[in-house]
Amino acid sequence: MEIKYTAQGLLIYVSMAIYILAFFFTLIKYRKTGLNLYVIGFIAALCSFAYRWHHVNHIPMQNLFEVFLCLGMLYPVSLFCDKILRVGGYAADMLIGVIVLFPAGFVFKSEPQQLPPALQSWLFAPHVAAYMLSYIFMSKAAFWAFAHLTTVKNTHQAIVHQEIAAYKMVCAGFPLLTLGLILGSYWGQCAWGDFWGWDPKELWSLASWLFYVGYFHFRSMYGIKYSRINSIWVILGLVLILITLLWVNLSRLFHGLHSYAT
Amino acid sequence: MIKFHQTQMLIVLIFIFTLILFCIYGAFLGADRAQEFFNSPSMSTPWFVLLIMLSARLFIFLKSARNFGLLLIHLGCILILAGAMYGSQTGHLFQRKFFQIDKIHRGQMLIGQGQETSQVVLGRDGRIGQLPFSIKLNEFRIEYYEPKFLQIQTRQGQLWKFPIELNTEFDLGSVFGKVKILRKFQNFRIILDNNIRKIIDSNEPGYNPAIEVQIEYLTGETINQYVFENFGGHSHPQDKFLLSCTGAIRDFISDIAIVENRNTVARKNIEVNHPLHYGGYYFYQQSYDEQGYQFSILSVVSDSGLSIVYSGYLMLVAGVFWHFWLSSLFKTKEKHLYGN
Ligand code: HEM
Repeated sequence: MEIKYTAQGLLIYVSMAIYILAFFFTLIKYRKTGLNLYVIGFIAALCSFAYRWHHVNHIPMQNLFEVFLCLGMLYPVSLFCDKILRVGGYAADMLIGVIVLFPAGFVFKSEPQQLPPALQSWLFAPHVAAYMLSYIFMSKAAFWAFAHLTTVKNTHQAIVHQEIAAYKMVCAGFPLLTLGLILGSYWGQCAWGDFWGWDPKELWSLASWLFYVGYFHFRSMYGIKYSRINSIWVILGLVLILITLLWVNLSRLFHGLHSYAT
Repeated sequence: MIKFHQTQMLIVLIFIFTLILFCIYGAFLGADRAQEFFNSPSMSTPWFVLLIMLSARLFIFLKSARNFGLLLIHLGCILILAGAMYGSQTGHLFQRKFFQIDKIHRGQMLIGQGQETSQVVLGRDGRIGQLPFSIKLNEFRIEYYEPKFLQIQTRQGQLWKFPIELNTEFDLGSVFGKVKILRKFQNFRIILDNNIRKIIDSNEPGYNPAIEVQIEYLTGETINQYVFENFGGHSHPQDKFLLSCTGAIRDFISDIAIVENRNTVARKNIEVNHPLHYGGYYFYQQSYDEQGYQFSILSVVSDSGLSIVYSGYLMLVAGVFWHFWLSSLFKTKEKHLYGN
């Protein structure tokens, strides 16, 4: 935990504050104001990313700090989901924006870092980026699933709509999750001579991937017949993802090759 | 038919859950023991059952030609599993028995600079295998990010970091004084010349980088000290400062040649992330002689089954994007969203 007293830090904190404000306004039904603030927050996040780019002189996607910084600009994803996939959820996205900027602002060090040999690969950025993008879709899915489970008095139609929104988000995120897993495995082959090393991080990521595979098989069998089970499945999927992402790195429980990712 | 479909799906789900549980169990074991666990003879049955279930599924897909994306996904999984099994330790035994292919599964080669070998150390028990060609190590070297730094730390934890530049004076503030770097060594050696100890930068093989540092205290007293890159952190209790000299490692490089019948048939720098592929094997930079940089350790891995696994990867990725993005998400009709 560290506070960054730098221009970079300031830009991150400003974006976070605006996202929180946007969320608050959306919550009290000033949707228009909320949305406008969300766009302003996005611009702040964009500035923070551009500043970093200028500062380190290459696309800032080389370490976790930079990746989270990049994820903070998730407005295009919200727009894509809303306009193309017809799945809303701006309020959830504002919160997700705050959550992904938090590690950039408070956890990871922002000093331009020299990459250890194993991380110098063209696979690094796409592998991490595919995972992060898929995590955003999966978080949106979990928000919809949560809404579905907690909405009590509503029409059947509306409830079905929420479950389907969650399903669509998982459909959007799953190919990226698969891509991230496979790029990682290919990278392992290039760097260590093993496309699968049975490392705890790899095993957790395989477990989360298989969990979504299970979800698809279940849902392809029963459709929306047991819609609550579908939603619980989606939320547990995100829990597994969080374990993959955080627990393995932050706890000292597991020792493995991926420890330099912290 | 519906009943059959449901039973089949139930079996698939149970199987997937079992796999998930195995993965989580493996994560608690740690990489080495997990590898043993998943490669143990008792795990071979589940792997085979999975392969057969997927293949049966594929057969049904083929007959009904229901969905091209799903076909690719499941076929991809089959290829990945099959390729991985063919390339495993057991797979190599199988190749030897049935196809008379005698390949080393994996091992390590220790090669001294300027030397040539075809011997591969196979396991922890030190058994030796032979490659049908040999490998010569022309040179091993480590590259550092420039500039390297001299780090000075007081016992109270105050820290300075200076780029290593000769004869430039750096200020340690009003309490401590000044510091200057007098000399740089690539290969620091002490020799006896007519019974007089002499410190030289040797031209002989070896790598022992060091610098000579002069600290001038405010009292005017000066001391000279050698700081070694390979042996950081040496200090005496009476020293005011801890000195160290570091550069972050950028790369490990083995410049090697493949020698077949006394002819050099290939030459390459093996680096981390840039292995050499030759004669059915991959060669990786794995380790090195940390003291003198006199030898390099390469790991040797058979490429059996790898192309099958990679084709599986391509199909699986193509399949999921096809199925979930192209033919589900962007479809205008939404009927499929409600499931069967
Ligand atoms: C244990 C081996 C497996 C078997 C026997 C199996 C069997 C099946 C079956 C019966 C279906 C239903 C297809 C239909 O309705 O006609 C299906 C669909 C599917 N399978 Fe598998 N499967 C297996 C493993 C996998 C794996 C490892 C994946 C990984 C991605 C996968 C991905 C899918 C997907 C995405 C669907 C489509 C679900 C949907 O309709 O949305 N399957 N599979």
